Amino acid sequence: MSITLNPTLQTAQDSQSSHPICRIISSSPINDIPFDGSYLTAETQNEFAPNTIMTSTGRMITVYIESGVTYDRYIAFQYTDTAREGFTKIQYDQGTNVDILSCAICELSTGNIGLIWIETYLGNYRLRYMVVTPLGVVITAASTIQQWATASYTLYDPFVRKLADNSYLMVYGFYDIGAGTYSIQKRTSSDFSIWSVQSTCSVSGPSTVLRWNHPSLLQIDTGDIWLYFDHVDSVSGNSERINCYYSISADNGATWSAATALTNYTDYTASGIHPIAAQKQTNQMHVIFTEQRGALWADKDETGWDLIMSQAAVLQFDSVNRKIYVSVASSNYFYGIVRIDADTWVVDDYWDGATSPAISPVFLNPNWCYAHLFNGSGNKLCAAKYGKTERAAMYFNGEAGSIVNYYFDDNATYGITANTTGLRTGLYVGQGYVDAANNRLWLFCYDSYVLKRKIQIGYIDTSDPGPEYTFREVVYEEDSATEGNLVEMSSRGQFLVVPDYDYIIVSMAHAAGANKGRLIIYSISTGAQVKDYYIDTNSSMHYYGLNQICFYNGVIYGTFYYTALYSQDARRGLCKIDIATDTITYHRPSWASVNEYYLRSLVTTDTGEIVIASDYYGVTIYNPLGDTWSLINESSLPGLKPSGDNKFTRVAYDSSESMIIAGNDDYALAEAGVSYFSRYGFLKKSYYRIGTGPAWSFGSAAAFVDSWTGYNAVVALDPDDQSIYAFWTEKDNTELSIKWDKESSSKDITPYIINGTDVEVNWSIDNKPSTLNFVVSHGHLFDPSNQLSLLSIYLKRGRILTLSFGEEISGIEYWQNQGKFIVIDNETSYGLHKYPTMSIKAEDIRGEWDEIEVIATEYFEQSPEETITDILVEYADLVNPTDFNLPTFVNTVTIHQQWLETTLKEIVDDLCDRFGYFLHMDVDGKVTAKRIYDQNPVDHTYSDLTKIIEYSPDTSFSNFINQVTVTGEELSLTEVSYPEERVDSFGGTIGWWQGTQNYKRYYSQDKEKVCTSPRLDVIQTTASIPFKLAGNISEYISYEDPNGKYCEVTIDCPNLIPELAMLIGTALMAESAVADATFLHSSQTYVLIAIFYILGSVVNFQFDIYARPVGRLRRSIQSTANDTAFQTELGKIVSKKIDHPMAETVAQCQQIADHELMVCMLQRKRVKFVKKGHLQDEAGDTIKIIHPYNYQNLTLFITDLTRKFKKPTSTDSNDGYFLDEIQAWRVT
Amino acid sequence: MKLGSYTFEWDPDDLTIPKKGKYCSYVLTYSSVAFFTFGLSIIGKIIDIPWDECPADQFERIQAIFEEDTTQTWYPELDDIIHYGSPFVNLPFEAGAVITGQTSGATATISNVFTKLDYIMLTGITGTFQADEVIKDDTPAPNQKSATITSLIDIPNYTVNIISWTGKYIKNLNTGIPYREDCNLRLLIMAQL
Repeated sequence: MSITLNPTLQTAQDSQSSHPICRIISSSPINDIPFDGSYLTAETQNEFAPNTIMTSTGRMITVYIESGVTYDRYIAFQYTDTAREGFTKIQYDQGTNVDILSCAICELSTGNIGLIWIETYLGNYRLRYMVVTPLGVVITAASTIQQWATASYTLYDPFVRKLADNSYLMVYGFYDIGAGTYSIQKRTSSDFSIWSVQSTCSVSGPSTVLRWNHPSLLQIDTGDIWLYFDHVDSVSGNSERINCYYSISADNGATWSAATALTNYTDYTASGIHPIAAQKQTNQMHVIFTEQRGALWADKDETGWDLIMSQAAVLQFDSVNRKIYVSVASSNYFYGIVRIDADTWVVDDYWDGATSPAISPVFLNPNWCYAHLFNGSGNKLCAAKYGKTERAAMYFNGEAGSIVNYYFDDNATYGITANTTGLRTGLYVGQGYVDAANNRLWLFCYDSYVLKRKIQIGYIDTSDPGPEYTFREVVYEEDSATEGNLVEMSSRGQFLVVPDYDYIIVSMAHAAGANKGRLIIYSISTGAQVKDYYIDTNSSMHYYGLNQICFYNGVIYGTFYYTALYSQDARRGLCKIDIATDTITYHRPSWASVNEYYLRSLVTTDTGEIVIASDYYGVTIYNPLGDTWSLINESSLPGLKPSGDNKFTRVAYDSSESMIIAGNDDYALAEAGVSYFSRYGFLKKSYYRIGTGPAWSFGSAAAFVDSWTGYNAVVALDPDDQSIYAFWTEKDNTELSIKWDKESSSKDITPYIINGTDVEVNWSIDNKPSTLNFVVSHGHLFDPSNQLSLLSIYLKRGRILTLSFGEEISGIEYWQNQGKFIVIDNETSYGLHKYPTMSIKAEDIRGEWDEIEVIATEYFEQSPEETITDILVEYADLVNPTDFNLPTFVNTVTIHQQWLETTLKEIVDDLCDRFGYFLHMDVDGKVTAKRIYDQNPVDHTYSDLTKIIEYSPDTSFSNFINQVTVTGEELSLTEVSYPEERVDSFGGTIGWWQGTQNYKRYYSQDKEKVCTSPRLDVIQTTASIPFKLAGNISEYISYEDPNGKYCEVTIDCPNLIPELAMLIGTALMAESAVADATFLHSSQTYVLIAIFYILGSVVNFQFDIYARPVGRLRRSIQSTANDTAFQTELGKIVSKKIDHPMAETVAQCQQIADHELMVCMLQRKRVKFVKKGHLQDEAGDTIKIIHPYNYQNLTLFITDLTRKFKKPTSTDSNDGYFLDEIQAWRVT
Repeated sequence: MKLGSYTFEWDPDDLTIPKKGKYCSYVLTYSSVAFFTFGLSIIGKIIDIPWDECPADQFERIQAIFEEDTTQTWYPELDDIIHYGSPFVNLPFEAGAVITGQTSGATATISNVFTKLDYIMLTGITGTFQADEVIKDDTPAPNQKSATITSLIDIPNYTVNIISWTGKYIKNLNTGIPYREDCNLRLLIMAQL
């Protein structure tokens, strides 16, 4: 089915003359808001507090503060050209001893720009102004409006607007220290040089004894002036609760309405600050403000955390996918795993006994599992059941969403059969560690009992597909550690593996009592002890050992429990073991002078600092380089935890964002949960609300920027479409920078396309993504690395390009979409005397699918169309039904298929290939598929040669295949039996007292193997003389399980107890009745011999059982398609064989074979031709043309279509065109 | 003629007519020809403005503009002309009269009348005259004069970049007055104002 064009466009396309037009629009692949932003400069000094305006000429001007070495002394003034293509920066140096706090700007009636700012200078606050041209040339030098002594007054953040009457209104926060009152002060001017004395904006409502700050102004189209500001509503200790307010003036600022709250933060965990507004249209206003909070918090009350507990026993950060994994456990009870997206702070998944995959009940409450002793890395976690019996361990892969259970013992309670060998009996699985890089689950197993102290350390290869697994022993020792060392390994201490150093580290610890701790390092490669740090042999080692440890650069850092006993009273804080020198030192936090710092879990940063959780003081960071300490707690960062305590027991670190993840696994529920906070202070993020008038109500707040590092945003509106330009302060660790972004950042790229170059789009049926190539001017401005260019965002990798071709007909443009493409490459070269152009290459969305790895899909039993849709929804995020326009496949059937370790594109291609289709992104960007078939109806007929420019046959892709055989497997299983084999071997003992015995013998250990025709092979028989004398001795199979899983072996032999009793009786009677001693002696002798024979009738037996195993196989099926004509012509058969996993019947094999043979036959009839471009045609169409020599009709199936648009280089050249270059199969 | 804020002391001897060019191509097919037009545009057109001679002062002042290396406004200030045809009523037009386009409503004052070639030169144009519309002057009926516009020349101003400015150094041996010969100002039209 070809494209249906607008009738007018269709008529124009059919004409010999045309006026082709081309349009390429660049747009963002995601919603513009929340903004991610680009840096305004690459400079490394601090840049902050932006303000921006759009001038009447279309220039956008932004000011912000830049730090000098000592002072924030520079005002940066960035202006754009009137087309807003590039930034130019000018810097105004206010001299030494000046700290500029904030600067605001407005356009003056003259077209110049007025700046006002507040600075501190030699003990004074100064309110100053300056006038410059739009290009930054100073017209009026910086002048002071007024100054105040910092000892008596404080000034905050000025803002200025030109009002509709061309006067100027300035506002700023003001604190009169003597009076103890805060206010928003205003000044007016008619010329921006003579300012009125300040007067208070009389806004009733908020208390004047708490701070008013960040005022901003907006005069809307009704003439009303809106004053926004933030206000400290209440104070508790170091915590402030701040909200945003607005007040309205209808008389140019003379009087103001009572304050109305814009935000409603009700506790001290978060505040709303820095409101600023812009009006895009009548009765609508965007208000942007910053949410400031100490930390993000999640516990069981968070949506998605569907576990009953909040205790964070293990915290791990997956830095690749930016996910936080929480093992939720309290002491010996494990409840499950929760995953939090660090960027969105959404609990996006969890796993427990009811999820898929489910955590085995073996590990979950009420069974015992000390999850806090099992550490991993990134998204790989582990756990193990506690106990010496029914032992089991679990490996969790968060990225794949899979769980593998390793059972070391049978578990009758849960009907579990052991599947892992190698773990010695009688040992606890004490602690674990996942070495994700080497696919190893390491386990520390032990028995501390005084008489049999044992340690076994080994690993399971997590890449082993199973179902049988092996625990590979690396270390086995007896009596290397004492009972006292080991006894608390089920509750404290830490097991850590460091592959890069060949270390296995076992840290045994105690909290109190007389038992001593110990730290032993083993070699991974040899299993031998490398180090043994023990107070008995090294007095520097702490008596109680190290409870939690981390390793960095050859040094172990460890926390321990303080004790004043055993001469340990001087050892406080953090223990450091330098393995190379065996030097053990202790480092006491500088932020408090106490004995016990309650240090618990610790982790290293990428720079070697140690982040440590304290179960009393907060989170502390130790820098070994300077032996310095810092502390983050409720005092330094209010809102760290909702409970307000400073108790953390677990910690992880997000190095890329310098964020700390801290949690608590204490019993006390109020303290449990996860905090996510910056080591550098408050989290700040800009949000926005849309207000709707004229009664003015505000919608809910939504994120304005996409990270917790972007705040205090300001905006200007694009005069063309009222879209938002935004600038904000970005905090990257300790550096402040300015970022900018644009709403509706779509841009028409067409004017930049260079004349005389091709705009070339290609579609093909070979499953390759469609491509778009073109060249633009202004390469230096489109260069993504050019931070001074506003065009730099439009052609960077990942942008969406929407291509349209069309015709201009009588002055009216008629457009036809040609598809959506993603920029994958842009090349610009700068050379002397060479204009920098940029070559763009883009592909349709399938280019991304080739890089989307699919570990395992679900098992599908549905139509191919439904399967394609489901897979693309899950893996390509195509959530909108309008993204799809899939037809029902001819010969569609239910497919039964699961894909493992492949790419998204391969899955989709598999499905389309199976049914003879190719996936096609249509001209509107929808997913569709077209049938590859030589009898499709003709879509477009070219009845003459007026459009055909070139024509040539092309057999470059042909081959000699004239027979295709497709082999598949039936869906149903067929039972088959295999040759007889020995399936069991057993033996035993049978005695004179037992009689007939039955033995139930399964054909396999797991009792699952099915066999038929069992046969007993007697290796050692039960027959003995007394048994034979008693007769009836037989050994045979007496019963076969109808399900074929076992048989019963019966040994029929007499019970000799009666015979024995009779003989004993005979002997006794003979003794009493017969006097002849000789006879008596002889008869007694015979009887006794018989008795001894019987008593000696205890015999061993040994049997083998042979049987024929039964299996279930899918029957192989196949079908063949023949090109008999070509076979005859060639004189031989050239066959191609295909094993197809989705062919389940002979008919399906035949369909696939027919299709494959058809493709081979058509490849021998390939042609290439060039024609005048026609927007109706696309790849997969069947068209009819006239042969240029014999004038016969040719029906062609288009396999490749390259459409080229070129505007002539100049008015004098004849090198323009709009052509279709086609490769096709001649189907008739 | 004016470039930026400088009005030329000597107007050029001739110049490229600033008019739109056509971007078009054709491709021969097996039995016909495919013709593509990509529209007309004056953007990107090269304008050559030559002087056989020009005063040294003018040369240096244009050189100064050239060295500014910024976008300039070019004011051709060429005469606005209307060619007219029948039906003629009460002609000829007279200089000083005000004409009004009967369809467009545009008005202008006649500065010169060339009766032999049936065209008038205009000043003070307001609005845009159209081809084929009737123009009438402001003489009261029944002596009011009218005709029909056959074509009109109305050269607007342009935003330009100077591509080159060349000339030869000549010093008049008799007068000692320096001047320049074979000068050429080459402009690139960026936009029509």
